[in-house]
Amino acid sequence: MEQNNKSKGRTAVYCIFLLVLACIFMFPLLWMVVSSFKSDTAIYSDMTSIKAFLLPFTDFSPFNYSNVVNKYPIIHAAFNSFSYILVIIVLSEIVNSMAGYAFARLKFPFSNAIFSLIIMLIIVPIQTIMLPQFVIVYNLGWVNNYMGLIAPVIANCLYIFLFRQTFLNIPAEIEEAGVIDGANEFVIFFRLVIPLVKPTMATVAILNFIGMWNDFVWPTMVITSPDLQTIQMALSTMFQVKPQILGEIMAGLTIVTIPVLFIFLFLQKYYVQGIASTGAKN
Amino acid sequence: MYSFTNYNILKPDEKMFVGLNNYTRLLSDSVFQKSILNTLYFTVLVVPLQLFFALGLALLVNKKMKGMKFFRLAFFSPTILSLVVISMLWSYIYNPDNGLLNAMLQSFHLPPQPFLTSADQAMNCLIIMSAWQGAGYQMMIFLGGLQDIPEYLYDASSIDGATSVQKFKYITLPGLKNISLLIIITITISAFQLLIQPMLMTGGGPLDSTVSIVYEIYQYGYKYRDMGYGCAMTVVFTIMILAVALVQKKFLTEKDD
Repeated sequence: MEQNNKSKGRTAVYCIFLLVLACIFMFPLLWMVVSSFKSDTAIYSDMTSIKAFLLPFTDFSPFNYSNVVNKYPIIHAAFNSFSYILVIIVLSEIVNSMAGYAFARLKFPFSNAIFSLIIMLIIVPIQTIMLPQFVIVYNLGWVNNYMGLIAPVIANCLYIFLFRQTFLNIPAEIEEAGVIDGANEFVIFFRLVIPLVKPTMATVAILNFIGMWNDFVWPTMVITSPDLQTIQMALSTMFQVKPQILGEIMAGLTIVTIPVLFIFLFLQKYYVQGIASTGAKN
Repeated sequence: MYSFTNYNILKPDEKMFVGLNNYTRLLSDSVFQKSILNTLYFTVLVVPLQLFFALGLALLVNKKMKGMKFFRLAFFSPTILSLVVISMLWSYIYNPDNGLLNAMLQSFHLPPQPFLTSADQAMNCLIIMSAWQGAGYQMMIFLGGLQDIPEYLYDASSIDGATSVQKFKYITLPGLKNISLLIIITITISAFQLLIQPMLMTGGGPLDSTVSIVYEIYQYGYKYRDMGYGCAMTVVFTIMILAVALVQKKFLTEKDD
């Protein structure tokens, strides 16, 4: 009995320790969200004390949010981002799942060699192809056009790899049953097979969304007119405008983070799974 | 499929074949050389730091307590933020005049620091910030690895009277070796890609102390439209990454006895 109390005590202490550590670790985020609800004078005066991290119960000021939305084209940019990312996700699911399926099931010449190449290309950093890709996009007339953002990212080596692995783990009997039933059109295959890989499709959709939502360099290179800006681009313009109202910037940062945070909190199962599988790939 | 195969097509002959001109230009470009040094410096410091954070955090949250999930998420949360958000946020934290860190330092009666405005501190600030941001990701991978180590190894060693330190040294670390290698290579490759932080936070300054290789690639290839030169840099960059990755792989797997 004495041991029970002891270990309960130890657990409690450990939890408190972790809590403190977590707070310290998350201090920038806490500060960001809390400051987004304060007026600038409050932010600056609170900075020297613990109040920097506490929600202002007396001085609660959601005006930063309304100001930000009115002054900067954040909503418009968010809409832009959502639209083109949606297109990317749909196309990406189709293309990458089909490719993964082909590598898993079909025997075609050089399939192993090509697949090894694909695996190696997973680690190629985007900066390596950043410039040539830009030249290509430029010559295709896709600069300042969402095609320039969508086309280069649809086929993705990592997702092809993930799909192939998933397909390999699914017994072929289901498809054989489909053939026996006389369904040998690809469309029907996709009604049979695709539902089996829904978790992978969820993972790919999530990784795609978060990756594309947070992408900054490539859209900056491709998009030149403010009208078509993506969300990260719009955010960075806030940074250049003077005078800077800190509270509004914090509100902007928080707004931009919300969709990703949302996905992360409610769909973490798939997200973490995706990370685990990228870890397992080696 | 555009993105994959063509980083060689545009080697130094964009409109006119200039042979190795671009490469010789690289050799005498002191800013480019500085960018290499900076990137190496960044990488050499960020990798161990982030590794340390990730492993430490993973060990801390590897307990079967309820509520652990919350802590894992908390430590993981910086990784889902975009680099833009993080760069902007930390610019305000590091602001020498009215930034959060200096305000905190003052409240503890410590001297304020110049942070990003000082050629000495700027890169270090970026390093700490980047390690903070990335640690959660590797923490998850380490967690997976830790949980793969079979329980019975620990139990058996307890029976033999091993202390926690010994358990760590002889069971945990070897069990994590493969994962550690993967993680080290991953962090290294990401570290080499340093671009957004200097771009948004310091513009490469002060005194070119935060210029990174990719930043130079971006400047020349995109801003100055000097594609040939930018591509030459890209080739150098890629060769460096491959070399480093191979060296790491060789060096760290040789210890397998």
